[in-house]
Amino acid sequence: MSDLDVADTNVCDVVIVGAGPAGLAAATRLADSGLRVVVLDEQARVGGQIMRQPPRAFRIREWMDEAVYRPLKSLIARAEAESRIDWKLGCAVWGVFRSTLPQGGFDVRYVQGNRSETLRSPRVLIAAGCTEMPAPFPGWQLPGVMGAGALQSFYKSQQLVVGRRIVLAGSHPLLLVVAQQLARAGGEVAGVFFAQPWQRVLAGLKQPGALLSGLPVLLQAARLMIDLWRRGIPLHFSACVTAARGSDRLEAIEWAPVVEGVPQQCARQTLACDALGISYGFLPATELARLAGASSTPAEGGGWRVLGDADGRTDVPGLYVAGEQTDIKGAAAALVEGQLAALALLADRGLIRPDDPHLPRTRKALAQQRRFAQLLTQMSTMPDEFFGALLTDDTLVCRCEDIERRQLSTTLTENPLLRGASATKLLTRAGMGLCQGRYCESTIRRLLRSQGSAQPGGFRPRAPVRPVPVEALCRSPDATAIRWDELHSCNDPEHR
Amino acid sequence: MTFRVEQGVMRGAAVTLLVDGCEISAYEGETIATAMLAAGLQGFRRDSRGGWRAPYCNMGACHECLVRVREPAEPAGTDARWTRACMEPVRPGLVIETGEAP
Repeated sequence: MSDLDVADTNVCDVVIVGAGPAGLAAATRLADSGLRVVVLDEQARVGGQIMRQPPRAFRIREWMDEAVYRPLKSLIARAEAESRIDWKLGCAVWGVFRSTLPQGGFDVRYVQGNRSETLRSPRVLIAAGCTEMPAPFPGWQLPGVMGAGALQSFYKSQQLVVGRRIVLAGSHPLLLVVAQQLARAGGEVAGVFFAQPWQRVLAGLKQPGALLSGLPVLLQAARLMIDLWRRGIPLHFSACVTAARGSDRLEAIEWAPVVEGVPQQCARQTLACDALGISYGFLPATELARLAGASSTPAEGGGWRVLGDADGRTDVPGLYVAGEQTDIKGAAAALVEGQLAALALLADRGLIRPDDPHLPRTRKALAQQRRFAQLLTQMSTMPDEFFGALLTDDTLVCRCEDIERRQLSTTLTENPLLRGASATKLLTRAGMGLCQGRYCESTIRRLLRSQGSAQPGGFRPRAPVRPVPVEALCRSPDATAIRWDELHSCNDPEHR
Repeated sequence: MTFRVEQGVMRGAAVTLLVDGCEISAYEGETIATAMLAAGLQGFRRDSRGGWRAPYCNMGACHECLVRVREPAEPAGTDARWTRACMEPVRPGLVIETGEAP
């Protein structure tokens, strides 16, 4: 029962990229309908970043026993017990290409170990999640400074508390969760800094209908804050970390009050610490979907979100997206989106009727989750001016190529017609490094906006979307079939 | 100091690896990044000005934790391979070199 009638073991019905909540929910639903599903993920175990599982060699009593994780834990348990799904873990997908074969479909190319392999599939669902929003400030490249999500995943999956004195800073409620988890594990949290005033939290609730969907998250935040207060952890609002100091590693942070969205020059204080976790939000990781030709638009907090229909179909036939691909909305919504995209795919295959009652029911559940996500974004998004003020002349914008803001500003001033990040890259090298622009694109676009470019273009998505050793490509069983020109293919008209 | 959570956690077998010629101990299941941080080592790669870099994302995206590794079986002099310390599990006798700029 395959769309492609080819005797090829690398052919399946659906390839899913990403084994987080969205990918797992979709995979289990599609397997239930008898489709041959392959799931690829770069990590060694399923769960995604939200549920970064410990290695199998670990035994942990009460791993992530908080109530919010329960639905995701049962999803993981179900998925891992599902023998009909072909799991390809530890596999980094480096490109999704529309096939040139007459029957269509996609070539999904990935690296496992030091070998590149290819899967062919008539349909692909991308659920590749997100990355942490970069917010450059002086010293953010020092060892000891990392994403709050990184501190959290060291704890979740490795049971490691990084640092002796930990500071958390940013604007996202994740900071509260991480602070509590690390404190419970025995870490010393020296302070939590929220750049926004606490009243912002309540302002979001004034939106019509927001109270109902926002109340649970507000209650959870209140519980977390009370717990931190009981532990004696200082919680600051309208305050942000303005610099990380230290000779070859983080030794202290500087922090300052934030007034009307701008960190103040005066009244700066110092706090000794050796670990700093930053979280201002997340960026959709959509380079694979965009590479395959899906249309996208700038996401509110930075990065690019895929323009899918309500059920997760992109404008490329056979290509679906779920989870953070269409916007940042969290794990609970991602799970529902995964189910919905699976239903859409089944309807397109004719395996369920287009008026199947599960479709409207799932859409309704998703609408609720989305309202909640919008509320979270409203509470935590900081304005361009805020990030602009953090970015001093000698702050590194591109961490890979060591490009400071000074250099970028000079280039932008000398080239007032620059309109996009790609052109800026050619002149400065910013974005040419191994992270492939993930940690500088949003800053460069912000700089372009501050120079008057209303909607600056981003980096053109390029294969391989992860650095791949040439040796791995050459060892690929179909090395001769890799069309090297496809490495530069891009269907986004803006980038042509 | 960075520490391993002990309460309620059973790790895999003890493993010894070499980082810049010094032995550090780790446990099966840990990543190179975890083993190094737990040993108090915070220098992974160096940037173009000689400054140290260390894990930023811990999920394979930022490439700040790049180190060079050689398998224990490989003879000295074999070219070491670049790897992301946060993505690669430790193995007994793994030989790791830090401090290079990619």
